[in-house]
Amino acid sequence: MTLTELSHRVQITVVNLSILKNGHAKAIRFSTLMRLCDALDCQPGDLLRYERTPDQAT
Amino acid sequence: MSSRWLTRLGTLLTLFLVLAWLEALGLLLYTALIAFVGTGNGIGVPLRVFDVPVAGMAAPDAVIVSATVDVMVRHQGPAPLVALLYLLSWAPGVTTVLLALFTVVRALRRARSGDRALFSAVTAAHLRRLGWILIIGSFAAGLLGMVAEPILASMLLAKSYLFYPPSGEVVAGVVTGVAVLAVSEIVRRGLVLLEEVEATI
Repeated sequence: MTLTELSHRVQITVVNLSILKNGHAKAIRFSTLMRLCDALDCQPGDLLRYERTPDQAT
Repeated sequence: MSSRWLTRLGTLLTLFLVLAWLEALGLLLYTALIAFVGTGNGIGVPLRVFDVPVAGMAAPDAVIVSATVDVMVRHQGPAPLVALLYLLSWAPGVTTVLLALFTVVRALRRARSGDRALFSAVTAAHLRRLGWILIIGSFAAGLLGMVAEPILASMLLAKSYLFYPPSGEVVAGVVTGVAVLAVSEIVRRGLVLLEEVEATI
């Protein structure tokens, strides 16, 4: 599935999809997350991952 | 609609700014006249006189407990020191008003050309600057006035005091400055929230 097809299914722009893909998004709506999971047939845990940043590692 | 309202307000404040400039120039010219020419028949230097005799002025069932009057004192002949002290008593206040008006006019002009009208980071910055101008300017005007007025009074009046309390305008200026700073902080925090909402995908 291309980014354009996914953006149509999730109803967000390709630009925003790209921001999400590259990990530059500040926040995501539950509705967007649900549509993403629906389109990709996965769970939120498959899309989200927590990484400790250097300033939190103390 | 909003833009038209801002344009009208901007025009009105620009007019006030021009009038304030003219007033400042007039006061400067008048101060120069006091310094170098003298004001034999001109307007005097405004001073406050406390404990004015008021016998017989109160109604039968009332008592006057204190009386303060504004007097205009003329100095015959050139008086550079009087002019300097008079300058110290009005210049900080007038400068504060001019700077404050200039900041507001600039903020409105920038707001008219921006996408988000008044609710922007530029407006918050202008408001913060306006708040500090009002607070510092009013404090400076009050302090210099408290120094200049007793010396002027001792030079021009037979009876003078060591301390002349700052006028209500000084207090009003400081309070307004604090209020403007608070509004600036509200706009800034509102913008942070708006940015977070807009950045949510």
